[in-house]
Amino acid sequence: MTKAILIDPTEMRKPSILRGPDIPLNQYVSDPAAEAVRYGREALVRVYRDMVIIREFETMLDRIKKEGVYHGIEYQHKGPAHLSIGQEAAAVGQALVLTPDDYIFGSHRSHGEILAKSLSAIAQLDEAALTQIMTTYNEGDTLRVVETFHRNGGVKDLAVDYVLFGTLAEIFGRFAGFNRGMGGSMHAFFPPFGVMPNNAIVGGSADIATGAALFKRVNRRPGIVIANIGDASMGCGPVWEAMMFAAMDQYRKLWPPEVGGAPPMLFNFMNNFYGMGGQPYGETMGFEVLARVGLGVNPEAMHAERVDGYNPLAVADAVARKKELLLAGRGPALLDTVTYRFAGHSPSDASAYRTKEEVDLWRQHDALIGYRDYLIANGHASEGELDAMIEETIDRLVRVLSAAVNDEIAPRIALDSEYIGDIMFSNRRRERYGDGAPWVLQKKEESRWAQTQAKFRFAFDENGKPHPKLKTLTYAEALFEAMIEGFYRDPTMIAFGEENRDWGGAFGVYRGLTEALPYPRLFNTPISEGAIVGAAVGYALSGGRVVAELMYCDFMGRAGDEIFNQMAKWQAMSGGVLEMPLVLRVSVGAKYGAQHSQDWSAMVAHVPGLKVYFPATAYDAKGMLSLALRGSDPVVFFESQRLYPEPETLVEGGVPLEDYVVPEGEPALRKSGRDLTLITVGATLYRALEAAQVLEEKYGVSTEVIDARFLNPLNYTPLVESVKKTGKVVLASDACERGSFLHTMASNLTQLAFDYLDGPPVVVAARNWITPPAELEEMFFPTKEWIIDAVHERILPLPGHKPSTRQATDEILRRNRLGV
Amino acid sequence: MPTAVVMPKQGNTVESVMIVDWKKRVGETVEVGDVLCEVETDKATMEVPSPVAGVLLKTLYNVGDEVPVMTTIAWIGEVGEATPDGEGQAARGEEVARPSTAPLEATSSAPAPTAELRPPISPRARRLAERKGVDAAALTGSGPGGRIIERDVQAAVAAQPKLTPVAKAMVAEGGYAVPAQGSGPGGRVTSKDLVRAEEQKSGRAGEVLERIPPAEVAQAPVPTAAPSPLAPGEVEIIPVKGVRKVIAERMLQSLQTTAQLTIHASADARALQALRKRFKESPEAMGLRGITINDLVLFAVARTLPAYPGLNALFTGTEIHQYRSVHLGVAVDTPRGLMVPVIRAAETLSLRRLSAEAKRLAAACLESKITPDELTGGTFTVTNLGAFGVENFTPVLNPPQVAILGVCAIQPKAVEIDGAIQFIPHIGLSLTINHQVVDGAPAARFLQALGQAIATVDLLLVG
Repeated sequence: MTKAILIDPTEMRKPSILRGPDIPLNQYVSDPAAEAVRYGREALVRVYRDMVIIREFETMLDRIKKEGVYHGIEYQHKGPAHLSIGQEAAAVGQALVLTPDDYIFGSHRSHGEILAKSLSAIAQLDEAALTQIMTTYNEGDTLRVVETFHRNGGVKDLAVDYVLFGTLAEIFGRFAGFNRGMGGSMHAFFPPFGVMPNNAIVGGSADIATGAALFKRVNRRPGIVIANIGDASMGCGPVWEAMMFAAMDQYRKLWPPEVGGAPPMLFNFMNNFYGMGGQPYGETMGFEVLARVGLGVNPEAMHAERVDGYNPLAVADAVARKKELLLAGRGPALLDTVTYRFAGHSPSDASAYRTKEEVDLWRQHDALIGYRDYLIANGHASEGELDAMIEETIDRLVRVLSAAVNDEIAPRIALDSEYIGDIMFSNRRRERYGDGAPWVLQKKEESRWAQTQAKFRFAFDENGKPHPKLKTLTYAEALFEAMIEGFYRDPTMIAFGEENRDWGGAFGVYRGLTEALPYPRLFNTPISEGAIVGAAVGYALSGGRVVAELMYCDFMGRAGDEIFNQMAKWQAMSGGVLEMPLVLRVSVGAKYGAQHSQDWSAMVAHVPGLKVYFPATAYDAKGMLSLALRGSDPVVFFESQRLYPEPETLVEGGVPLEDYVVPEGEPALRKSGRDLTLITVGATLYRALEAAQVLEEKYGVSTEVIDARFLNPLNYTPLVESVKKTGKVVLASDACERGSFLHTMASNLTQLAFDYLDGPPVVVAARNWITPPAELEEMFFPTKEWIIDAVHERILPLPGHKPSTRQATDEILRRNRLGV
Repeated sequence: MPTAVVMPKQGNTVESVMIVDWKKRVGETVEVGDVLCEVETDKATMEVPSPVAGVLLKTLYNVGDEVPVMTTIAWIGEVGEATPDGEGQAARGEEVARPSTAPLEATSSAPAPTAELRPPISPRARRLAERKGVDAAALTGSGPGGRIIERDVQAAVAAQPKLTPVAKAMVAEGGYAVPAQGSGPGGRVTSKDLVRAEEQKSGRAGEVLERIPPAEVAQAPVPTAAPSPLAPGEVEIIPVKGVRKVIAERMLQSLQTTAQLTIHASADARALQALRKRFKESPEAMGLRGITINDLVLFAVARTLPAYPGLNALFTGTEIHQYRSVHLGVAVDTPRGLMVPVIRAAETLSLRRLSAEAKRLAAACLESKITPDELTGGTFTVTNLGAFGVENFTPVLNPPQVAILGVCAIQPKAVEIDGAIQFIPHIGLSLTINHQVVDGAPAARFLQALGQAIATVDLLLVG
């Protein structure tokens, strides 16, 4: 309870000086004898081999991109290739001390990290485990190709070919690639070795990795999580948000100690000094030393230090130390890993922003030279042995490349394939993502659930008289019932957002859950919408069910990338490997003016990969949330603040006591009619019902009202049937008119029922204005009158009707001409 | 895959049609609804519209070919597409060059577009109008901007009389507008009412019956020795095809296969003339001005015939089919030749309706909009040459009917009344019967009864 934390004015007003810890810079001192003992000769030599493999792999791609040929193998690669030549030591040093349980999330420049982590995992896993992974991943498709060119060298050698081929085939968009070719160069990953999604949005991995670390902590899973992101990503808001999220005091001050403290999260900045062509050091940022940022985050300064990324053993040492304190719950940690890329940002980079002298200076420091000398000087390997590694690597890559460019043995999906459609959603029904009893603090029967269950489930008694409102289950309480059922069903399920604990969410949906659930399952976050959604993405793709909340729909803008690029896309970009059991509850406001009253459902419906629900009744609030909480897909779950206090008035029998699900994508018929169809999304349903009453009683127009309730997926069949019956359709919602999802529906209905239409489908939407003050909302949101007037002006002139609002088609022209 | 153009079945009794003219050439681009070719049945000319847009890839019949209905006559698809029979990649090579001129020809001969004059109509209203047989063009739209919307069509449907089952089926198949009034029992619209209404769309049900001209039999060419060679242009050679070919065959067959006997009589025409005069002078609002002498004669025939079922009959060669209802064939002169549309259940029609139906059918024949079904099923025929001053003639039977009445000119006839000679106008009547199955006496009795009915047609109207 935050009430337990006293904010003492005497303490807060006391004069003092804040001093932070020292930030070590490149403090590692090489001790060859100790290093030999610590890692052993074999591992030390393997570090060199892995750096060689990465260097040659990237060089191969560089040749392919620039010259179209590598050792006689010709190929044109159309996609991107952001190479990490020069950064090998940072990747291999890090991987040296990580186990397959440790996760790394990377960036657009992560080929080296993928290979380093995978090669490290191969060295650690036994042959049986490797065989198991290779024969089952991608249904064995990747392995089957590798077996066509592999030279018998044992399972571990096969696994090296497997990793190189799986990564390269992915880069080339082949079906046998690690992610079925759906991720490509910037997104390739391989979860069995702890290589998690690499992100083409700069800094995109920071909050996702934080969510994965949260998953490990909450679910007591082994390992740490690293976000390998660039120095320039320090300019990205979500990176800061992720650090704030990862550094919350509550993990150690409020969470039960047995959870183990803070999420094991390491922010590792691969500091190559360039953000494409901008230079964070000296130009685009002001921190001078990136590690300094740790001072601004928490009293431990995130244990920040700068490490020499051109010495793999310095990196290994630093990562090992951070891992130890992260596992002890003392995170988060920050590493400023100094490195440098010899290659350009991409093949089109003319290096206009740096001098040849600078590049040459770094080449003199090249780790492949320095570390090679170290191995020879300390007697770990001979020149000949190391040269043989290079030869062997080239030989291996020639075989891997030959297979990866071969359309016969490594084809892409056919151009007319619907495969991508099949992986956009995983569409699985999962009661729970983990075994064991969910961690709760109360029996369900002792919780607020008992009170909501005791309420009237329908607004009216058998005589049609309304029940007292306080004694009747509301839309908000129906959501609560679905939530608590989920929490008591799935041990992995957690929920977070702003004011979720204690307050119970700004609108009280979670009231009673604070008492029922321990902190790790329900907690407050910083005001960091990007990290709220990003962490939820990381939690979900790690294998846990999560409900994140955005207090107002308007705040989606703060989480734009996380919703549009991350939450929506990772299932498909993984080639069907990942599931995304993430429900994003989004409250659509009113009365709070221009930045708190917008319905942005069209934006999420536009982005492929999201399911979009918008219940308008208490019955659907519970049934649709229950559905979302049993699915495996990301759902943006819109709720209307107008409806939170409303009981069920439409569904006979009211809200069932037990748990149930609404069939996905099925619109709900709210009222039958013959002459006109009104289709609504969200709270406009009730205004449409009022309009229907007037249309029937005053004008004799028998009106059918359908609540779409789903935007995606959406079964148009019942809508089309209704429109075929009535020939007239008005679509209404509180979303602004331009680009409203209603226009998508109208367009589809026009195509599906054209011959049956007696007039154009008419969209009645909010004005293309800012939302005015609460007192003026009648001029902004669709009202009963707008609907009736629109019917009169555009579809069916009503005898004797005098429109009170402007709905004629000339208004469409005028408004668009003005852009409003 | 190209689309087959199937020769539509033009009516219940039509089994084959003849291609009269291809309006589109192979290789030419066609739109949905473009007329591909013109065909004739034994009685009517019809246009075959293109069911799809595309290129006319191949035609399977030539002009003059007889084509069974429901068979494929052409293929439409994309340029170069093979037709299923493996032939007819006609849209390639030299033939593909043709369209450069063909569309120009089509445009130059096309009627001026009238689309902009059509009132806007919703897809639903159009669909309903087609299904219910409402002539949408005649409606006033009550929707926004005058759009004809569903309720406008529904109102028109509500104003329609009930339909007989056959009429309903015909309407449901499409292509028929339901007339405001029906001629069936209880005012039900019958199939023939539909047919009539379809023709009224033309808006040209005029005075055609006034100038109903000779049956072509009179001009049937007599085979003669080949004439001596003439200079070019001295003779116009007209291929005998379509309606003319059918007439030529039918007339000859009629005279060759039946035993025709014509008897003549005349009837007091004063009542006819008096009524006609009164109709002409009647207020326009009564709608009687268009009723002609011929209409009155048709009315008298329709009311007299039921008492003489022997003449209202068909002879199949082995059976005589006597009809209770009078399905009255009316000969109509058209530029393409003689046509005989049928007024169904004529004995049930009021004079006004009979007149309207006769005008509608005549107009339909003149505009080539008559349907094969409207041209079949007659049980008795009336032909009228009176307007040309013909005093009597020998109409040729329309087998398998057994009688045909020729109506002749009205002329003064000297009649002795109370010892004084008076000149009283009489209308000539020539009745041809098939003497195989109709004897002279019953024919004469019918003619006598008809004469009396005509003489007292004003009284007949009351009945």
